[in-house]
Amino acid sequence: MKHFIKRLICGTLVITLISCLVCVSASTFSSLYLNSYRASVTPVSGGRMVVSADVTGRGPQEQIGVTLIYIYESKDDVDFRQVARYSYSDYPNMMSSGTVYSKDIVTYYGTPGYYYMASVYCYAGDGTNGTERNYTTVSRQAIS
Amino acid sequence: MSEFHNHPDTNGNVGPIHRHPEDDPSTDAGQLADGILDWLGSVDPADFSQADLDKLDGMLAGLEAAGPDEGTDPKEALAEFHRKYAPLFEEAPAELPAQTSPDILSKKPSRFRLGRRIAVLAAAVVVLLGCMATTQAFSLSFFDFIGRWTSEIFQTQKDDVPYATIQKVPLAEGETAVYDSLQEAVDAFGVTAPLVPQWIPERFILESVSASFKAEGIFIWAEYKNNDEFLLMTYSETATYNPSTLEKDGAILDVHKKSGINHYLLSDIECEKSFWQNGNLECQISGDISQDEMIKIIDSIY
Repeated sequence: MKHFIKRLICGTLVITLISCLVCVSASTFSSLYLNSYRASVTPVSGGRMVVSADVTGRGPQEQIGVTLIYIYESKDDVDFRQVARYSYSDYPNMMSSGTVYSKDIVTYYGTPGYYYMASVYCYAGDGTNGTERNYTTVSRQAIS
Repeated sequence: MSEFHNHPDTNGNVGPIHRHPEDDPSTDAGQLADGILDWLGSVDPADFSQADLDKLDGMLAGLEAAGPDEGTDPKEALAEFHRKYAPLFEEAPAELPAQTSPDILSKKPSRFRLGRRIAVLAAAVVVLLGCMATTQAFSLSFFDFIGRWTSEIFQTQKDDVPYATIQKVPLAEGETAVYDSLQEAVDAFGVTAPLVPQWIPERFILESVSASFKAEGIFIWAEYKNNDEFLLMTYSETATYNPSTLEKDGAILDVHKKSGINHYLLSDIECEKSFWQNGNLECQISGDISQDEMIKIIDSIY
């Protein structure tokens, strides 16, 4: 009975592993405009958190950059709440043109010791046709 | 079945008279013993009667008279017997001395070893599943994570390509600079490890080389162009916290290993891409080129 249970558990784990591999390969996105993207939240002195992004296009784009940024705050790095929202319509430096967009976009004045993460929407296209993808950063702790 | 006759020693009844052992011509104990054994071999066990039992008693009495017991203790004899033939018994008696073979008593069933191996394998699978779930939860590209992990391991081996690091920063934070060549930009940041391709498809012309210094770190990129075709190379200092995510279609992911580094090859709607990790620099090449050209570009770096 014990051996049967062990074999059952191992078999279930193997099936689960194979299923996860299939899920990884299925969750891919393709784009004629967007090549790669990433964002980050970096703590600097005084509790400030700098949101940055690197967005590259498939060749020169009329519009490339970030359309929307949400900043989240947490005391325990577990439960987060939204504390800020930035739109490129309000902050023009969030969007540019060309093949590469690489900038420190916004600085949020947080509380030292608290944790912050950002949800960033990266974009490449011509404003009418394009690709927008979300990138959620890892959380970082603000420093004094 | 024979009629039962009472033994002459019981209740005065007279039983059949057997030859007295003293009448037996053989008085040697060994011969008497052999005779007893021969007689026993000739007797049918199904027909063994009281008369036969009486006869046996008589023969044993004669044997006792010919070779009396020299005082052997049965218990001691049994103990000696068990000592001699201990491996034949499943459990040794309490009075046995500790002289049994340890090999016979210490073997463990092989099925327990198999169970342990399965448990170890299951634990390894659980750890791998946990790593995959963690990377996905942080919106990481799983293969990107593996590429970084394995390249760090390869960097520690002998004869591998030097570990690429930013040694100096000639820019102010938030500043972006322009360079004449990719090698000049890499040199400006003190990177000595091989990063710059020495071969580019002839049809492409260098458009620009730039570098930015953000709060997170350095980002270097070089753009090439051929009419509507593009070729882009980027080097990002980071990436431990927030690695890049590449767009790709369902094409199979290949790996091109060069100088101990895994260069991951993928495609996205006729656009070839490659990414790898060298030290704390995340490197990418993307463009309207063939996979053979991509491999040739990568090989020219080292």
